[in-house]
Amino acid sequence: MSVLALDEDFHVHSAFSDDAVSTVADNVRAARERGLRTLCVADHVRGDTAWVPRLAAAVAACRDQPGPRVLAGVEAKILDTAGRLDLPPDLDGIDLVLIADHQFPADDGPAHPDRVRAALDAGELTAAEAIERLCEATGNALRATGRGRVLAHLFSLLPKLGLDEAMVPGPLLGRLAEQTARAGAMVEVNEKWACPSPRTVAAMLRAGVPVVAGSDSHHCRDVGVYRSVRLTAGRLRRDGLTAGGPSEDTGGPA
Amino acid sequence: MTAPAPRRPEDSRPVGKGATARDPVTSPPVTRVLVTGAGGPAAIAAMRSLGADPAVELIAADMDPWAAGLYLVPAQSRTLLPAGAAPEFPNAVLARCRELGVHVVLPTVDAELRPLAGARATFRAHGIGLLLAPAAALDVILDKLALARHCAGTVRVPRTEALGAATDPSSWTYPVVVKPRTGSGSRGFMTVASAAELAALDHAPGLLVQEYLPGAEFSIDVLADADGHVIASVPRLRARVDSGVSVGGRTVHDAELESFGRAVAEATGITYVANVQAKRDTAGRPALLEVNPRMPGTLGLTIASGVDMPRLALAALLGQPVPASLGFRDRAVVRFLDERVIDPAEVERVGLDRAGHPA
Repeated sequence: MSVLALDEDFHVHSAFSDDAVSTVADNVRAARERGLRTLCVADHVRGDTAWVPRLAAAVAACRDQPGPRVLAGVEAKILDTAGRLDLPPDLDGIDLVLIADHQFPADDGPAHPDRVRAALDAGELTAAEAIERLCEATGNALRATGRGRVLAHLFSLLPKLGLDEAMVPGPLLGRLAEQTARAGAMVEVNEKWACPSPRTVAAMLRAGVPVVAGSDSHHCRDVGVYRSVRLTAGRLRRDGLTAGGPSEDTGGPA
Repeated sequence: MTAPAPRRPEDSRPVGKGATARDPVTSPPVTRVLVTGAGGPAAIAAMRSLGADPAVELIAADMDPWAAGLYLVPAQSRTLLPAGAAPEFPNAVLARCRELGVHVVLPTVDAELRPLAGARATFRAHGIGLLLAPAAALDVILDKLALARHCAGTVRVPRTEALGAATDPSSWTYPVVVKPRTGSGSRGFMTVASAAELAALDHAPGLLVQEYLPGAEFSIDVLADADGHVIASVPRLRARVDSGVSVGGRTVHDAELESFGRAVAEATGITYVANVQAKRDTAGRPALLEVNPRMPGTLGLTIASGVDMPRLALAALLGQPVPASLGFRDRAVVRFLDERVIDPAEVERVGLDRAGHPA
């Protein structure tokens, strides 16, 4: 099978998110029209978000009908190095928590990327330290909830800090991939932010992490529409990576 | 009374509700079940049970192309998987399930249970259900020391302690049993006859000392629904054992053993099928040895006694109605090795004759 299924969308926003316009039903209809197999409606939450039960109910109303399997998700930012998530306590009916690097998770809480960039420019923080802390926070965040977890647009923060994914040292990346595999979590290849890079995705696949596609759409016209994700999938395929880990090609006797 | 093991709500939700295993309108009315460990008797017993249901299509999986159960299904329904302990195992299973359009995974190998339970939400997100107890229950059950501590107060538990510097050989009545905290079967099991012998043992990590139980040994097959409500508890006596393999057995109507199995299942929070092993102490009371949180290899007898545990467990997972309680009739079984003659090319071709199931 393809290393990255493109008939799924694990990251779609509905009008429950402040910055999105389409209803859950609109998104489901769009996914059905495009022949998607899986759709995860995942909206931005904070610790005090009260509408999670209504999102879960709206998604539940779209199940058991022809078309894609519909999942309910929430997207929560990593707050600090300890990996706390900006997540409301009641997540009944939520299938997946999308773990997002929206702000820099500092020791004392989320820091705006501009502030961190200024600290980098002023030499108060090195690039290596910033990357290490982001990886540490992300690894810790995998333990913040027992629900299904997806690392959403992993490393989307780095360009906002003036840094690049290629700067993440291999051993650090390998360690995060192992943590992700051990947590039973998934990694999203995100259309909107065109990340993580094929190198990061390859490290995840080698560790045995399931990799899924997400559009991060805020309008139903963008549900399941992939350009950058398609490029990543093609690159991984050319590099001979498979979704099943090493067994896929070596399973049969030689 | 020990509190039941915590259970996450998403662990117990039937696959048929919420994230549906298959689309009820456009999909064919078949549930495709991948059974792992196809070389083992547990998988074969489960496959015989599920294979009798026309609404079930079996996929047999193992890490070894010589696994007998592979040859109980058509060539295109056989697949090879990595070892359960391999880091890539859960994702390899997930990828294979998506490729073959599998709706339910039934693991029968101990090493696979925890890795799969850890990835349960990811499987669910892909519409695949796991016929497997919750991770919290596995944490208790697969560590025999944790199990003894957890069930003390619920049922009679033999004195069990970690073997280490704190072990006081003079405090035990001999013989005692020394065995690994984890692992199944009789691997690493030894009987220690005296305090001197126990004191002389190397304190390898992960060993425990346990009071020796001299009485008859029983296996109690337990069936619980997706919420852990116990539907049936069927005690079996291992009447004849040859080289460690049970070759003759029978079900036993014994209210004490039935409620023993039920109490252990409820205390540990198991779901679907598990096997509780008990042995009588010097006073004749049943005491807990261990729990196998998966289908046992001797399930055929329990199925024949009227409780078709694999089919009922699958129904529970799919959110279909299951009885609240089931009794059984006494049956005895004699067991022997069976064989199947095949073309050697079939062994070389396992996993290569895919039928192209819709993913």
